[in-house]
Order: sequence, then structure tokens, then C-alpha cells
Amino acid sequence: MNISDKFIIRKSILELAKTGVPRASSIDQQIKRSYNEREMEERENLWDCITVLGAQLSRPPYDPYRESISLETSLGRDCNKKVILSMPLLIYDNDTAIEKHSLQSLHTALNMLAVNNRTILGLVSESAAIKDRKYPFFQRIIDRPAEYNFEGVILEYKGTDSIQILQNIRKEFNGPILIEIIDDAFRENTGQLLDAGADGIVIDTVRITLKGKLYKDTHAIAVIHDARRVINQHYKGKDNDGATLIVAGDVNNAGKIIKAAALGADIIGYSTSLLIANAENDQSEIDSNIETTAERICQHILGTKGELRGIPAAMGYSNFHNISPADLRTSNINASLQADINLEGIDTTYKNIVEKVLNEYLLLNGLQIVDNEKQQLLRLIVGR
Amino acid sequence: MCGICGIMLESYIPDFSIGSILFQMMESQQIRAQDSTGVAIFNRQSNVDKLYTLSYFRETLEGYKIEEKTTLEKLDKLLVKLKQQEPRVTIISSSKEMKLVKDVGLARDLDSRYNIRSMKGSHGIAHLRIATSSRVTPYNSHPFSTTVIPDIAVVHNGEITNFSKLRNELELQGYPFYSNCDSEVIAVFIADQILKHGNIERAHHEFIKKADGPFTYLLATDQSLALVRDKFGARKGIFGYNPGGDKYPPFWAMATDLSALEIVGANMYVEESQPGKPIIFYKSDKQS
Repeated sequence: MNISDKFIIRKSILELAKTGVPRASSIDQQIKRSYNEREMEERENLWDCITVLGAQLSRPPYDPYRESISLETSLGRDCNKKVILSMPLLIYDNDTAIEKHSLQSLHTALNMLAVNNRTILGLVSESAAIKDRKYPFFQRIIDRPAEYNFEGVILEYKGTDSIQILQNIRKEFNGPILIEIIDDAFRENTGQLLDAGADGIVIDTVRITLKGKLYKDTHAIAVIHDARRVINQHYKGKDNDGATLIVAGDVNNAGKIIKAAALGADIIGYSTSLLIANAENDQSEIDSNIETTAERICQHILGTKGELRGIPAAMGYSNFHNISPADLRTSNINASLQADINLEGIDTTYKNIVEKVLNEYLLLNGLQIVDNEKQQLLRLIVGR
Repeated sequence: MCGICGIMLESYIPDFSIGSILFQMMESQQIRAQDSTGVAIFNRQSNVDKLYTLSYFRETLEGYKIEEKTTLEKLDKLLVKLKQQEPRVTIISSSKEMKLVKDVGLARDLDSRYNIRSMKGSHGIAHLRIATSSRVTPYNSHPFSTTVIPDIAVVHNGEITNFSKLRNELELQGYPFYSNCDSEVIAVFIADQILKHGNIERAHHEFIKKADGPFTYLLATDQSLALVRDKFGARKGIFGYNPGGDKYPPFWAMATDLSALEIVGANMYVEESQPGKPIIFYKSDKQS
């Protein structure tokens, strides 16, 4: 056991002594989580290696105070009861159970946002929905629910059985159904799930990069890029009628949200614990209560909304969803390889440069190989 | 800072050269842009129903040269054949009654090469380009067309900022692109919408809804000519009417600058097109 583990235990004991309330999650879980986080930290942070191109002379920026910069996002393809979000965010409870007091603060904050600020955000939770809500609630489930007292469903993918469950829910429920996939199964099953009636796919980049065999040594950007490619390939030759890609995981600030959206995410799963952490009173304050926490959550969300409107506007877009991979540049070869991002200055991907050199080599030496062999050779050289 | 202009005769006059009007409008706006120019003019001929014409640039030692191939078969077959036999050509347009020419240089250079002043037809559009996002080459000049359906041409001033996203979506549907210019996406998008709904007005509305950035464009089909501005009206676009007289027959003219309307006497009912609301002029069946 190292110092940081001891620190977690000490912090938990102190908290218990102070409040007299046992923790919802065990200390073991906390320690395990911190290992995962440490592993993530050791990896190269490719988010910071990507830049977003701003507006150019011929493409003047919009003024978000004057022009309407749209952040609206629709969920549910052919559903009668579509969910329209005012921001491309779902407040998403990742894997730790949320404390009751915090959930109440969040509920109050989302109601305040909907009523006072006309900002509708979705809440995803395993807990039961609170009744007097003014926002859409997405219930996380693993099996067919007994009743449908919510606006949307997030069904965890547990193999082929989930497809049957999905089809059954689709028959009974007329709102958006999203499927959460926590390993690299999304590569094979996304098309089948969309055909079976799913309105979107939720991918958790943290879990996939930690557990997915194909993504062991990669960064979240590779997962987002590949998930978007899988959806695009499924719709090849026809229109995408509104199937969405929701990215949950380590996307937790406006900069990362924009980059994830450019790589293909339609909606970002925003961590509840992070939102609470941003808004909770610190330990020294005594007057911590639901209302003050809720107000701080509101302020944080409205601040994020301003940033999310400002960044596309500075790029010359009036709609958040118009951001595309063409707006990204990197000087990092890994980032270029993992998400097909153009390199700075030369506006082409690293893989394209290697392919060009390979073609010239083959031509010079009079070698002829079929396209499949060439792609294999290319993968061998660049490692992806 | 590109310049665009277009005209639509109130009634078709077989022997009247609308190229001469377009040329004057182009010259009056030449100060806006000097990189390249181009025109597309629509002229219905008697044997046109069965013939498809495919225009393309061939790179020669003297530079780029426009060539044409005509077919009675399906256009796809001709495209495949052309790609196999001559892989180094760049497709410009597919047409039944449209004539599209473009090149680098000024309007007068284009006229001395293709004699645009003598071109006859019912309606047409023209463009003066100053390059912003892609290289100055004949194939990146406007107007842009598509091989998705024949007889579509577009000239555009501004930038479609989300063109990369729109182009990816259209490419996934299997539509071909022949340049790197953002303007080509307008022609392909409208062609796709016409194939899906058959309604040109709806097609323009869909484009306004989907496209982002500051733009004004003129899009001509065999039956119509539309002046379209983005929803914020970030780029100019005006139109006016010439009631006709000794010199000209009655016609509607559209342009970026007022000078282009004044020089050809289209100074009646001069108006700025409303942002996000396409103005569509339909070809008259009347013939004088």
C-alpha cells in the first residue's frame, strides 16, 4: 500500500467520523479507481496535443451575443416522444453511486435550469427518477423495466441477449433508447443494435481504454474516432436518420467537449461526480445545503453553455454540430495515427504521408502488390 | 470578395446573346476579384432530349484544355470509361443544355478564349474568383457542377464553413466530388435533394438549414435560377429588373454589386435578397 492509498483510507475515516454516514462506495472501490486514474495519467494526454482551428479571414467568427449559436440536440429517431436537449450534454452517472444529498442538489439545479434559464439537460441515473422534475430523465437499466416512468432509457450491452431486450423495450417504449457499450464490442455490434431500434450508442472511453483489448495502448480519441467510423460505415449509401454517438468518460471541460465533438461525438456524457465536485462547498464552509449547491451547479452549467457557444462561434460555425475532424490539427504523430487528424502545417495525416512514401518506393523498385497487402504493410509500418 | 452575377430572360429569344450581358456585369465587378472567371449558360436545343455531354479538363503542355464527350447512353458508363482510359482528366460538368466554361485570369481572357459574349440562351450565371481556401487552378474556378444529375451550375461568394462535414455525408451516400473547393458541395447537395424530393425550393431551404458560414450563391438548373443568402445575411446579394428596350429584351439580373445591375440597366425593383429566403426565377415557356 502506498501513501496515496493510505490517504484515501484516512480521508474516508475522517469523513465517516465527521458525518456519521457510511460511504455509498467502498474504500476498496476508491483505491481501485485511483489505480485506474493513475494508469490513465501515465498515458500520454493526447487531448492537449490537439488544437482546434479558429476562424480565418475569409471565414469571420460569429458573435454569440448577436447571432444565435445553436447547441440543440435531438435524441430519438422515429420516436413520437423525442428528447430535445438545450446543450449536447447528458449529466451522466459513470460508475459510482451518487449520494442522496448530491442527487437532490442536482435535481434542484436541473429544475432551476429548465424553469429559470430555459436550459434543458438530461440526467442519467441508476436511481429511480424524482417525480416533480422538469428535465428529461434517462434510466440506466440492464433488463426490461417494470414501468416506463422516464423519458429515455440507457440499456447496458451484455452480449446478444441485450438485442432481444432492446427489441422488447422498443415495442413498449416510444422515447429514445440508448445502448451503453463498455468494451470494444461496439466495433462489431453497433450496426446490429441500430437496426434493432437503438437511437444511439453510449461509449465510455475510460472503461474501453482500460478494458478493451484493442484499445489497451490507445487514447480516448481513438475510441471516439472508431465509434464514429463504425456508425458512418453502417449508414454508407443512405442518410443517417438521427442515430447519435454519446461519449462518456474523461471528457470533462469545454475544450475536450469541442475536440470530442469534432471527432464525431454528438452528445457528451458529463460526469456527475465532477459536476458536484465543481459545485460542492468545501469542507471549511458550514452552510452547505441543497440550494446553494444547486445554484453553484447552475452557474457551472451556464458557464459551460457560454463556452460551448463561444468556441464554435470563434471557428465560424453557428451550429455546434457542424464541427468536424477537418477543424483539428496536431503535431503529435500518435494523435494523428489514432484519430486520423491532420498534422499541423502540412494538412495531411501521418498515415497518408507514409502511404505516399510507400507508393513511391514500390514504383521506384518496380514492385506490384495488391491493395490488401499494401494496407497490411502500412499497418505494420505505422502500427495501426 | 468574389463577385457573382446572373440573368434570366423574361421570355426566351433564340438568337439573343445573353453572354454579352453577363460579360458586362462581370467586367463591372472585376475589381472584386481577379484570380479566375467562369460562366454557365443554358440554351435548349432541338436534339437535346437524348444527349448527355460530359465536359472535362485535360492537362496538356500548354495548360488545361476543356474537352467534351457526348453519349446517348447512361452518364455513369461514360464516366467509368473516361476514368479507365484517361485517368488524368478532371470532370467539370454533365449537361443536356448547359454550356460551362471557366479558366484562370480575367473576364476578358475568358472571352478571348471561349467567346462568351456570343453565347446564346435563356439564362446564365457567372463568377469572378479571388481564392481563399483552395489553389488558383482552372478546375477550382467557378461555376461548379455535378455529374449526379445534368444541368446544375452554381457560383458562390463566401465560405461554407461546414463543407467538410456536408461533403463527408454526401460522399458516404456515394456521390462523386471532383475538386477541393467548398462550393462544389452546394451543387451536389441540391442535386441530392432534387433526386429525393423533386422540389427545387425545398432543396434550397434544406441547404440553408444545413449549411453554415457566410455565403451567397446563384444556382441555375435547366428550369430555374435561384439567388440564396445565408440565414444571417453575411454576404451581399441583390437583384433588379430591366423592362427591355432597344438594346435588351426584358430580363431579371442578380449580382453582388449594384454597379453590375446599373451597367445593364436592371435598375427597376432593385432589392436585396432576404437572408435565409431563396429568390427563385423560373424559366418562362414563352418565346419571342
